[in-house]
Parts: sequence; structure tokens; C-alpha cells
Amino acid sequence: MIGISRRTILATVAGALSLAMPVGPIGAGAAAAQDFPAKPIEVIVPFKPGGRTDVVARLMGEKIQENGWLSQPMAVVNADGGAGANAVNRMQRGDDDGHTIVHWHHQALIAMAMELGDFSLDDFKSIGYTGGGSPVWVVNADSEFQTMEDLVAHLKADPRSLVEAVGIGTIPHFVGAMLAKEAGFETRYVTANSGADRLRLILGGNADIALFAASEYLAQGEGLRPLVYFGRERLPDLPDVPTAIELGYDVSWANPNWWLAPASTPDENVAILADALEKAINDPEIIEYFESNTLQPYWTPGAEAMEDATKQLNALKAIAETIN
Amino acid sequence: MVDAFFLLFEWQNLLFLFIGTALGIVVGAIPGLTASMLIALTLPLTFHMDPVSAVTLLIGEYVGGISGGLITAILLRMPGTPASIVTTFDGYPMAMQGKAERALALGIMASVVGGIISWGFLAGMSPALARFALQFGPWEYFTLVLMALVMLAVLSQGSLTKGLLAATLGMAFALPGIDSSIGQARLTFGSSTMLSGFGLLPVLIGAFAISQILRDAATPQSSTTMAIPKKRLPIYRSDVRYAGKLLRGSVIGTWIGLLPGIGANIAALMSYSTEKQLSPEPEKFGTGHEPGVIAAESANNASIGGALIPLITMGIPGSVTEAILIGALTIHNLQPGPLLFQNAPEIAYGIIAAYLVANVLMLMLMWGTVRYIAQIVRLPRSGLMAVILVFCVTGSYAVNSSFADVWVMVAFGVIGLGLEFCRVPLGPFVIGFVLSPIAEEQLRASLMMSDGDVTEILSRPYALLFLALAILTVAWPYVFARMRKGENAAKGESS
Amino acid sequence: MTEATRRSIADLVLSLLVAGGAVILFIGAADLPPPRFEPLGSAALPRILGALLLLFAAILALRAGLRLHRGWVAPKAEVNGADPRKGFAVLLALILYVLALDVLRVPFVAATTVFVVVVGLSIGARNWRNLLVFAGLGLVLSLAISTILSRFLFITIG
Repeated sequence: MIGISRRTILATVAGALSLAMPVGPIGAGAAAAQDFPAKPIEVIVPFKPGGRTDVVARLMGEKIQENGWLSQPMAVVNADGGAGANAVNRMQRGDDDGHTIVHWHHQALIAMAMELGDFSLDDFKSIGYTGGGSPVWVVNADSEFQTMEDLVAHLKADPRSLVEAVGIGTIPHFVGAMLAKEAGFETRYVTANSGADRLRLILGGNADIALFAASEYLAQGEGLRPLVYFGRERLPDLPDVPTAIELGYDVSWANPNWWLAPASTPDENVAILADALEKAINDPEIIEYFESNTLQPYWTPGAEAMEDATKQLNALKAIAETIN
Repeated sequence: MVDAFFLLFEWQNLLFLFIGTALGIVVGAIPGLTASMLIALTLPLTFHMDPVSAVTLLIGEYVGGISGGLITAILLRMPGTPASIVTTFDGYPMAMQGKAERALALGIMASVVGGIISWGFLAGMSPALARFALQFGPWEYFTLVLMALVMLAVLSQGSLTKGLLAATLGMAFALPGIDSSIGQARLTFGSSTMLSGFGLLPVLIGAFAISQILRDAATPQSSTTMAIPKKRLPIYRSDVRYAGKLLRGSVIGTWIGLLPGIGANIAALMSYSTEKQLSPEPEKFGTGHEPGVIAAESANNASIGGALIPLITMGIPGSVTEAILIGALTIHNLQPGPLLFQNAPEIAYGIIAAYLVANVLMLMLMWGTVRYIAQIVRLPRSGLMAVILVFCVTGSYAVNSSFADVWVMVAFGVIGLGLEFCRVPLGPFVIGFVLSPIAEEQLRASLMMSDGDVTEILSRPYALLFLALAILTVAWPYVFARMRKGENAAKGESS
Repeated sequence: MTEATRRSIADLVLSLLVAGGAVILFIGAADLPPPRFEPLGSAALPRILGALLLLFAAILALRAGLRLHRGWVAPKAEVNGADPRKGFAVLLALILYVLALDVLRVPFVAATTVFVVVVGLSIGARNWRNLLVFAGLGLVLSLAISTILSRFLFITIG
């Protein structure tokens, strides 16, 4: 309760300040759209350099610049930390006319479901999804469980008998919990906040189950056995791994590359950005990169993406309640 | 492997390795700028380079960055990088006694020996060693970190209460932010900037560099706080007697570096305290004792080789710097892991070969230019301080593009100054800050895994071993003192 | 004031601050959720550390109090004509510099040049020659840093 009231006060103060300022973001936002972009576009990535979100942002930026789909280059800025709060703060500091945007994925929704930062979907205007990827659930290759059915049967017979490596409040935890809820089993957890940690625990025999991005699984290659894939359809690289839906569990998770702008960005400028991004994701080289990294290249326009995100957020909130 | 060496001798790869090592040494020598920062900052430059060149540049920066820190650690008592905190314990007193050249010579030699010995492990034993460390679960990590914390308590000098107070305070400052065990905010008091907690880099820069500059600004200009090497670096034939110590430091460093999450600073600390425990004259440590410098510098360099082992063979980073290195490889579509040797042998062996050559280059560069690099110290002090302050501000900012980090740095500068004024040591403060999140996360992960059953530790032999070592570390000084007392009493001396 | 009294008073102030910090830990820990996944929970470590800090603060305060009472003499005074005002001047300059960059959004090059001049002159000798040297140094340094950061690393400060 205290948090909420403080948040409201802060918002009010911020609002008052921005009104009082003669040359502020609002003035900039009203500028004519035809000369957009007028300067390099700052793309904020809420992670350290080198991760998938970062690499995709840089590749797309390069491709857009190379083909002149925008008159200005895209400059990627990494703002890691605070479950994305740092990146959102930086976005709110910048222009709200499309010159400052964020490239994120659905960890954003998890931060919202967990009520971590003081931001919500209302703070953003969705530019669109440029493709995405789904994860797999894996066990150690020496495990006695050959299929998902074996695993579920074992867990139903002997609840909480297996250890799942998750970072509580991160994607692996939420995806695992959605499946557990749907299939009606329960696991024990062990903290593993990065893919490297999960890999270490699985390969070292200290955990039984872990979630990996399909690309992480394929890159590892040895020592792991995938049981179920969380995409809507089977992945061509993993033809033998069934989807959760095929197995009769209504759970799927796609983690999109989501481009976001501040909520007050003019629609014309968002459209210009969306146009450039759509061209980039349809570029053969980008498609090749996506496919060789088990990502699916596709374009989801802003409004549709926002609708999908809202739906996912509600599902996540239900899981988040079980944590508190 | 031989091919990889030849590949390395293509002129542009050698050039990049040279540039990387040189840059690393200079940046490592400047307090407030670290190897991981340099690597993070040059990473985007490697986007358009060919992967082997990119890797050689980054490995050079890594080796140079960890090594360069010893220069300012010895001459200024400002560890250029966290890895050389322990080097200040004996290196600076030596410099104060007019033996700056000797301290530098020993530090550089120990660094190179540590590097080369750990390279031997890296090249020869990497798969087996990595497989061994891989079986460590949360219990092993927790007891291992506990052991490090206990050693730190034994190591702290001056008032025991103040040493423990410092460690506890450091641990407390690590609390705010997202509690990594449950992914929820803790002690942020509703502020979203507090969600990221206090960053390691701003805290380190603040506590060490800023507080030091503020203190120095207050003291009148005199050469007492700085030593300037004038003569050639002395090395003697009799130094062969340090071979055992070098080997011990290097092995400890390699071993600690091998364990993910524990960096070069801890390796140096462990090696230093081991050397102190084994020494017949432990009281000499901290007063400018040569083995102190050797223990610290052989171990912190050796830890790089150790940390590269799980990185290449398993794709598991051993430190922040290595996490960035892994990022660099993935940008080039290379995923470190067991398949790296099959799919991209030029990279896997290239890293190994580059590490050895970087160490040799580091020796040449440091030996030849340390007196000039040390001239940083001779620049007009006022100008130098202003420049370092600007670097501190931009460095803290650049990591996450956040001014909150810069404020954290300023605040910890003031805190560090206050603690020093009250004679509370900063070493335990910073190490408590670094270690406590790992210890807490691993302990809670252990309990999560065992459903709250503490006795599960009994089924983990390595965890029990680490726990026993931790207890022994606490008990040893008492046992040792009692034994000595007994001896003295037998000789009829009064104590 | 003797060195001994000064140090004892410093210890007393430190113990008060530490105790204050411990209270903040306890207040913060009271709001944390109860353990859910393992018996310790979020609040255990803050409480343990808070208790330890209180203990150490009490020991420090007790010792300092006893020393003051007994009229203990400090082993050695090592103050050698230090001028704390210079330290404070640099700290103030640093705070104003960060404030200028963060809140006032002063351009990096301008702020840095002024900062280098102010710090240089507040520590070193104040004369026109130094003023020019520091201004030049600040200008070159800030231009170099901002070029590297913005051109190659796409980091803009401010």
C-alpha cells in the first residue's frame, strides 16, 4: 500500500514537472513527423551486451542502416539491471517522439506480473514483434525419463521428487509453473538464474529438469535430452520433440523480440519505425540468421502484439500470485 | 593446436593481441578502470572483426588488465583492478621502504609464472578439471564461499571487531535490490532505481578510488604516499628459492579460477592467506614481505587460465569478465561448449594459444615499460586526480548508461572515507559485499533443493571437506598459538 | 581535543550510524514476504546482519565510552598538517559535476572541462598557467572520451 501511494505521488510530481517545463519531451513529441527520424535512434536493450536481445537489436539496426530504410542509424544502448527498471528509467528520460525506443522480450511482462518496477503496459506503445523463439524442457541425457509421459507419471506417483533448476520469478520458472499447473504435478526448485547455471546443475546431476531456449539446447548438443517443446508447432531442428499442446497440455510460450516506444510517441513516428522493422525482418539475411538460431522470423504489428502481450500478462499474473 | 599457433602468428592476429595486452595493462593500471570494463567497452568494436582477431584482442585485454593492476597497487596502494587488492598488502609497504622496483619485479615475474603454469593446466587438463568442478552443486558452492569468508576474517588486520564489522557492513550493502532467490524486491523501499541494488563496479570504484582521491586531496603534496621506480627492475639468482611459493600460488589460483563465480581477487586472497598460514613468520605479512606479493600476483594471473577452462570446455563463465567474453563469442555465432573443439577448433585452440602468447607479451611490455607506465604517478598530482575522477564517473556511467550508478559511486567514496577515518578496514568490507550474495543464494538454493533439510550436507563429501577446511582455518591460529606456547613453556621462556 | 578523544568520539558516531543502519534493516525486513520456497526466506539475512551490526555497534560504543572514561592515550598521532577543506572541495566539485550531468543535462565536454579546472586548482597551485593547463587537459580528455564513447560504443553521456 505504501508503495502504491508513493508511486502515485511520484507520478503526480513527474507530471507537474513536465507540464512546468517549457521545452520538454511534450514539445518534442508534437514535432512534425515528416522529418522523423532527425537524429540517430537510441535502442535501449535492458540486458548486458551479447545476449540474444542485444544481438538481434544490433543486426536489425545494421540491416536497416545498410538499406537506408530509416534516414538515421540505430544506436544500441545496454541498460542492464533492476529487472528492466533501469532501461525503463532511461527510456522515460529520453525523447518520446520515437528517437528513444526499447528492444525487449517477455521478461518485461514478468517484471510487470511480479510488480517489480513501477511500470506497466500503459507506459508503452507497442511497435511490433520481429520474430521470436520458444524454449524446451530438458533432462540429463543419462536420466531414466525418456519421454514427458514418464516424467509426469513419476511426479504424480511421487510428488516433489524431482528438482527443477529455475530462477524464481524468471521465464523458466513461469513456463515450468504453467505446465505444472496444467498437468497437475509439482517439482522442487533450485535457484539458477542464468542459462549457464541451469546447464551446470543439469550436467552436474544436481538438478533433474531445466528449461532452455531451443538455441541454447542445440548449441550444447551433448548431455541433455529434450522432453517437450513449448512452441505452437514442432521445431524443424527438433523434429522428434513433441509440443506441450500435442501432449494434451494447453501451454505454449513464445518469447518475441518486442520493440517498444514510450506511450506518448506519435503514431506517425511509430508507423515509420514499424515499417523499417518489418522490412528488416523480411530480409533474407535476417531470416537466415533467425532460422539458424532456432528463432522464427515473423512480423506482428504493434496493436496485435500488444493484445497478445496483455493476454500473456494475465496468465502470468495468475502464476505470480502463487509466489507471493 | 600447432595450427592454432601458426594462425596466431598471422600478423593481424599478433597485432591485435599486442594492442589488447598493451591496452589492458594501461587500463588495468588506472584505478577505476578494470579489465571487464575494457572488454565490455571494446566488445562492440569487434563486431566487424574476424572471430580469431576478436578473441585474441579480448584475451590480450583480459591478461593485460589483470596484470596491469599491480603497478598502481604497489606504487599508490590503489588497486588498479579488484584482482590486485591483495597485492597492496605487501607491495605498497615494500614501495614505501624504497623497494618499489623489487616489488614490481617480483609482481611481474609472479604474474608471468602464474600465467604460464595455469596455461599448462588449461592446455593439458581442461576437460578433466572442468568435469570435476561441474559436479559441484549449491552445497559445495555455499561451503566454498563460506570458506573464503572465514579466511577473510582470519586475514583481517587490526581490531577484530572492526574487521568483522566491515565484513558485516559490506554484506548488508549487498542486500538491496532483487533478491535473486525469489526474484522479488528487497529493501528497496519502493524505489525503482534501488531495484538494481548497488552495482559492484560503482561500489569498488567509490570505496577504493574515490575515497583514496578525497583523502589524498586533503594531505599536503608529498612524495611519501607515492613511490617512483627509478632503477632497473632487480631480479636475483637466489629468487629460485621462491619456486615453491610460485607453484603453490599458481596452483591455488588456477583451482580457484576454475570455480565459476569466484574471481581473481578471491584467488589472490586465498593464496595470500594460505602462504601466511604456512609461513614460519606470519607476522611479517602486511609489512612489505616479498612472499606476500608473490602469493597474490601468481594466483590472480593463474586464475585467468583456470577460469578459461570451464569457459572453453563447458561454456560456463568463471567471472564477470568471462561472461562478457562468452557474449563476444556468441556475437560471432560461436557458442562455447564441448562442441567448440569440433566445430571451431581455431577458436578453442586460438584462445588457449592466445593466452600463452599474451602472457609472454605482457612480460615484455611490463618489464620494458613499467617505469614509463608508472609515470602516470609522476604527472602533476592535481591533474592526475582530476583525470582519474573523470574516468571514474564515465566508467561507472558507461556500464549501464545510468547516473544512479554514478551516485552510488560518489556515496561509497564518502562511506569509504568515513570507514577509513574510523579505522574500519575496506578489504573485508568489499569482499563481504561480493561474497555474501553468492553465499546466501547458494545456501537458500541448497535448502530449496533439500526441502529445508540441513542434514543433506552429510551426503556431499566435497561440501563437508570445504566446511572442515573452513573450521580448520578458524581453529588453526589458536591451535598454532597453543602449540607454540607449549614449545616456549618447554624451553622455559615466559610469554 | 586530543587524538584519543577524537578517535573515541569517531567510534561513538560510527556505532550510532551502524545502529541506525541496523534499524533500517529491521524495518525493511518487516515488510518482506514470509519464507515460501525454503525455510530462510528473504528476511533472514537482513535480520541476522542487523543483529550482528547492533552487537558490533554496542561493543564499539562500550569500548569508546570506557576509553573516554579512563582517559586513554592514543598510541600515536599521525596527523601531518592535512587540510580536510581540500578533500571537501574536491567532493563538492564531484557532486556538482555529477549533478550538472545528470539533472541539469550540461553537455559533457563543457562540464568536464570546468570540473578538471576546478579540481586541479583546488588541489594544486592557483595561477594562470595552471588554469590554462587544466582547461586544455579537460578539453582534450573530454573530447577524447566522448568521441570514443559516442562514435564507437554508442554511449552518450547525459
